[in-house]
Amino acid sequence: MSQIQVRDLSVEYKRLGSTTGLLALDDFKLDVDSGEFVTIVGPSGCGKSTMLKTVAGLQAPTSGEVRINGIHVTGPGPDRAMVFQDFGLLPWRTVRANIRMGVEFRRRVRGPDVAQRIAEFIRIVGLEGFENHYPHQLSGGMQQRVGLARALIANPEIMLMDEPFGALDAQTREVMANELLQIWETNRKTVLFITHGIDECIYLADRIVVMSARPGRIKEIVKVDLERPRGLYIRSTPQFAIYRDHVWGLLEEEVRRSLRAGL
Amino acid sequence: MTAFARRHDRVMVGALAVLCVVAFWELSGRNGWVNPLFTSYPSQVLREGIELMSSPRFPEHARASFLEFAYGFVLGILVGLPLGLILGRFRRLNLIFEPLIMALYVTPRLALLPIIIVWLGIGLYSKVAVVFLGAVFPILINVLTGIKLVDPLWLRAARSYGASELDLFTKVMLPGSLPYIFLGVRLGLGRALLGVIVAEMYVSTVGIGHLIMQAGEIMRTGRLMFLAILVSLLGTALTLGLRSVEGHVIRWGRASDRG
Amino acid sequence: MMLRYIALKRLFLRSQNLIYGFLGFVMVLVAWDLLTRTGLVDPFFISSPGRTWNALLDEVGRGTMMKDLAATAGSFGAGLAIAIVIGVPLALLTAWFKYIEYVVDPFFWFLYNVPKLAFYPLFIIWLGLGTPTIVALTALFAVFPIFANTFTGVREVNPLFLIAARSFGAHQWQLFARVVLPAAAPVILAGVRLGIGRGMVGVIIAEMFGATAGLGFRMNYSASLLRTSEYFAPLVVVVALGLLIDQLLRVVERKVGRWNQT
Repeated sequence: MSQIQVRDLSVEYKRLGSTTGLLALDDFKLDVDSGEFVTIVGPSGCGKSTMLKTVAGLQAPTSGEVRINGIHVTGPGPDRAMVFQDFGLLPWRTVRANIRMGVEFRRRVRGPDVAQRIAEFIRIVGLEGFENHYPHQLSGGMQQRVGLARALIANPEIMLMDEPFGALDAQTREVMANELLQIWETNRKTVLFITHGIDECIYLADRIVVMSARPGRIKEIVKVDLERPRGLYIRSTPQFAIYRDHVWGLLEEEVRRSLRAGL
Repeated sequence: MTAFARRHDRVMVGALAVLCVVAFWELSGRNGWVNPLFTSYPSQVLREGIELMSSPRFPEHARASFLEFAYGFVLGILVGLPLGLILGRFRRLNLIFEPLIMALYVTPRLALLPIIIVWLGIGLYSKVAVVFLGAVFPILINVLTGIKLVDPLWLRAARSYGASELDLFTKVMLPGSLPYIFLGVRLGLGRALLGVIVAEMYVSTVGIGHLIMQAGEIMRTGRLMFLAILVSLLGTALTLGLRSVEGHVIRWGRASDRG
Repeated sequence: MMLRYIALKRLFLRSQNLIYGFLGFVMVLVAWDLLTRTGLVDPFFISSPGRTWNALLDEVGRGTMMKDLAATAGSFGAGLAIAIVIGVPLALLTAWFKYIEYVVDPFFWFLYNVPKLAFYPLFIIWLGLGTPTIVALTALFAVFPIFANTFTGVREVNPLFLIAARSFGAHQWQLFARVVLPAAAPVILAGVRLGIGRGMVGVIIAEMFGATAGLGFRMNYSASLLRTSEYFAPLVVVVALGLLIDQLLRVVERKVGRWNQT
């Protein structure tokens, strides 16, 4: 049985006082196995974030369902952790305190262990020396590392990442993607990763879910057969170029369609 | 111009302008270019001010104003802060009460002076009431706004990591609205100070406001100006003090307004 | 049928502010009425909607309401006009020329921190007891938001507009008249609206302290005679007028600032 099962998922946003709603997702179906790295790519507004939020338990489906390990998803849970595009850090908390949020509310880890684990993950994401800094003192890339550490410390089975590098500049993005893979290689959690970047979605993934323009449906799922571990050099290889052409071919049509629809 | 002057040109020009005005003021009063009865002049202001402050009855007035201000302001915080938090947290309650609060906020409280006097007499209580009314609304409204404007991303993130409703309130909403809480207290402070002075000017036998009216009645312009400057300095000092406290507490970002 | 429903709903959403205000007003009225009707509070202290309405009709009938309104309106109008005539040009100059700002700034902050009513005795010394002092105090109250908003409005014009205009060859005066002023207009208007609010407070207070006619005077006079209803009647008129003018100006503001979708 797949770890994540999404069946006939539809999400419609009803605007207050309006009779028509916005159909974000339509009949979405997806199976993800444990330990898979799945990237989701599609034009703006195609419902990628909505789908992720539904899996996270932050958004109720209008119809259809999401099951994790066979169990129906009704809300957030300790088996999933989210990383946000705009980082989602609390500005009045230091790096340490923000990371602590990963385990704080669910109280799964006892007192002295917490400090130790925080230090461990600070080391893993490479933020030694910045433990007592505030978010506004950090660059975007560093803030997102805090977000990453927070997700990791929660020790989830599934990591849900909503365009985590979207707010970073292009150069930082590449470095972060590479670092993310290195961290992932050590624990192989299941990852659902939303992105706009074509190179990024191929570079990171075992499988790529290409979505259509709104309302979001799966256009095609592309299996990526590049060997791991993957260094950044792999993007210059001919196999990568073939994938790139293929994915872009699928996407271009959808992007143009969404532009014409004024999305 | 030296590099120092160029970097600090704002302060230098400002200081220069003030100095010129003060000098001109002094000369015009002393030489009778303008009748000193109308505008007084700095040395006279200072002289009459010192004379006033060293007079035996002055401490009594100062104490009266201080007490009225303190009681009213503290009361304003004690009522405004919790109410603002509750109304901000429980949206449905807010929906019911917001129109009422806005209606009361819009009513010029200084126009209520006569009826407040009718209700509470000409002594301490009416002044405290005016101060309270001045302080409570900015505090309440800003606390409310602060909670409303908490970035939903913070709430979503915390919720995704399992925060309960109580966690969300104490660990996200409260710290997140601190800049607005301080803003409200700062605004309330200004209006509270105004309230003391105005109420005492309207009807009182003690207090700084009363002294101001009295100075006007006996045409002691120097004393009048001194008192006005005194109040202004007090207000500025209190505001600066509050800002420095705010700066220490909120080390993680900027205050939400400019002035 | 469906279309009409949708249109109604849209109208409801847009006029939410007005509905809110109306609701608040109704709530105050109901609470006010209940307090005296149930005997919780002696109507001597707070009057009641009914009694106040009667007092209002009475004052209108006697002609005093009209006289008071005229007096207050006159002083207010004059004070506001002075505030605009002084405040707007001064603020424009201060915002446009850096050194003028440096000179004006300390004085502005000083005046801002002095309780404006403290100027009342000073005005009496200068202008005597009566209408000139009232007008002066009104102007003083009104000028601050007008000045502050005009200043901010000019300063916070999106620098991109200026860069774009300058790149197409606009000179100083053209920049000012054709880019800055229109761009700042909504904020300046908002300042005038705020100035009107503060100006109304100013004129009422000044009249309360020393006048022979006017709504503020009437309030003070009635209260001193412990005639509560006759105090509330002009107060209600003041509040109603204030709200009305404020709402009207907001509509105008919205029309003027329609290009400015924040």
